[in-house]
Amino acid sequence: MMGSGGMVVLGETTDMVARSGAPISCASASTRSCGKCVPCRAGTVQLEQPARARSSWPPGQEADLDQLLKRLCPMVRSMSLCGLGQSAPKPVLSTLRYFRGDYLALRRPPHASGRRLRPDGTAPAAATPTGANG
Amino acid sequence: MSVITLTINGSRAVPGATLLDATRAPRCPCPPSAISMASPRGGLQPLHGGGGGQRQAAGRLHPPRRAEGMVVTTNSDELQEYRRMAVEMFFAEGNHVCAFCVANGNCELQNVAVEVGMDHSRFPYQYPHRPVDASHHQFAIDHNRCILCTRCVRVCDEIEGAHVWDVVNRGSHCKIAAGMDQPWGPVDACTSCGKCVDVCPTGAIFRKEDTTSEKHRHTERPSLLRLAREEHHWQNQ
Repeated sequence: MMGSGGMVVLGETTDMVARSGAPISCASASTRSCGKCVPCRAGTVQLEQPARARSSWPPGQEADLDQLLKRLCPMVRSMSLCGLGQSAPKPVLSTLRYFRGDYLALRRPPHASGRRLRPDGTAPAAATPTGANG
Repeated sequence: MSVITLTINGSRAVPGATLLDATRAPRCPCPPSAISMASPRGGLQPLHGGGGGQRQAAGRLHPPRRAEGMVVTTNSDELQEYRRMAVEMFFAEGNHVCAFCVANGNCELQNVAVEVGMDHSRFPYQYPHRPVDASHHQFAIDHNRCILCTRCVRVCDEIEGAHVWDVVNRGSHCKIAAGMDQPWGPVDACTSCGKCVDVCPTGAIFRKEDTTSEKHRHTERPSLLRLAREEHHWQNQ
């Protein structure tokens, strides 16, 4: 969901946290926000965080990252005063739903093979063909 | 105009009351956004509302989209969580250090943080680089402590009539600007009345003689002034 008629084409091994539509949407919302309401002004900045600088998340809280994002997204969506903030978290929700493994992977060093983790956070089996989406 | 019946937090509101009036009547915890001394602002007021059994979380009270038989809830577990998140975001987006703030102990942001049970921010602190403007001879503004409630903007425009303050930039770069986004001191429009100091909920705008925990604002003054002007009645007359 990009919301503006835009299209983003992604490869099989693209990092969905850092390079998908989610950070693009949040970054564009945070630079366009009028700044009146805090969910849009500050919430989009927080939604953008995991993508912008992984190391910026406080140590020890990485495990809660996807859980907190899951609660933050509905907050920004329902509390923002206008459509800009209300639509910003939608790509984050989508990536959290379908590529949760990428978020969980933030907790641990990148997988040696560079392949995407399964949605449950486990590494794909060794026999899996390269590029298969776990 | 037809009479509209509202139910707020289980109690029936006065017929014809706006959502904002009705939520002010019973005590309901809300972030420091709505004030009585200036015009109502569509600030963040988490609530559930809707007519005909419709339930929808929304972030605003004004403009009041009222419907007959509307049932509004301003307090639920979900909304309390949203409130706490909003307060955490306020703390994470600025540089709020209570320990040496002029408003420590007399700060609405601090009070709301206590009220929603926030003891730390789960969101990473942004530590933005924000300036302090002490060019005015009596007052100073510390943008690190500003939560962009725009009370100073409204009180200066609507009550003092000077319109010194405005909001500039977008998103996280938003800030309160004096005059034409210039230092406060040289702004000729400023009458040094101090109403912005009185309405500032945090220690962002303060008197220069105040140090840590010494800011004590006259919170009633702007609303008393407005009342006096509307009713043409002053104490010394």
